[in-house]
Amino acid sequence: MTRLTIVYDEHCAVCRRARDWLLTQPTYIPLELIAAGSPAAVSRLGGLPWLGRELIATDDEGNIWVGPAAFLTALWATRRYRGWSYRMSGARLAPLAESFFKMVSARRHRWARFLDDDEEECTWCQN
Amino acid sequence: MEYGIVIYVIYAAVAIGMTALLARTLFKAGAVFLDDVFDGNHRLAEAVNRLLVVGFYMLNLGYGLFLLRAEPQETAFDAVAYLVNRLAILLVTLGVIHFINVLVFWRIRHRAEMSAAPPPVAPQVILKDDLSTDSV
Repeated sequence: MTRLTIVYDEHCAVCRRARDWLLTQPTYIPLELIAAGSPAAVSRLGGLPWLGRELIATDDEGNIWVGPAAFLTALWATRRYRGWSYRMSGARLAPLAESFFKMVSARRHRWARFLDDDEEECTWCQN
Repeated sequence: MEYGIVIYVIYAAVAIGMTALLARTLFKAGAVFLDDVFDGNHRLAEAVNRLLVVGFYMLNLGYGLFLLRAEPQETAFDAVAYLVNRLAILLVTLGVIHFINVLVFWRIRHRAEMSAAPPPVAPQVILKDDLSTDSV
């Protein structure tokens, strides 16, 4: 793997905040963050049912991680939190990390009002 | 009789001997360790190893010599007690420094391992070249 691409939901303030944070982190491999609605994402991953609904991580070898797995893979790419990505995928913490990620992800559009964010509101999500 | 000079001589001999022995151990064991970390880059491994051992020598000898400020002792018993006390402090300190050194080696190795480690979870889907998807 020489590059990791993270596809995030650009209509959600939490996701944009997470993207901005991830961009500031030193990583082991080059990280690319693209919006789920962007032409690049649609042309590469348009066939996937999760595009725009779940966080997606993909590398240059065609491996695809979805949801909590994508979250862990994004953490794994960072120098500072690679150790945590293993801890959180271990038997003890994995269920906790997974439910936490799912909880945040499912309600991601509701968090927007708590974040001081003036980008566009979500117009198409079903939540 | 004056015991100050005797204390100095014995102490210096033991301090230098211990430091040299520990440094040799560190150098030999560290070489194996660092060779693995630097992925067979022997020259780099040897350079790092040498630098660590030089630091170890300077720190230990400097501290060891600094530690001894013997005053002339009245009796032979006082002299021996003082010597033993100094050596004890020196050995404990050498032990602590040695463990810090091992910790440094371990951290270097851990960091190297981390950078080569695969993702924590397997991908759910592997996209083939022909864009058909395979679930795993």
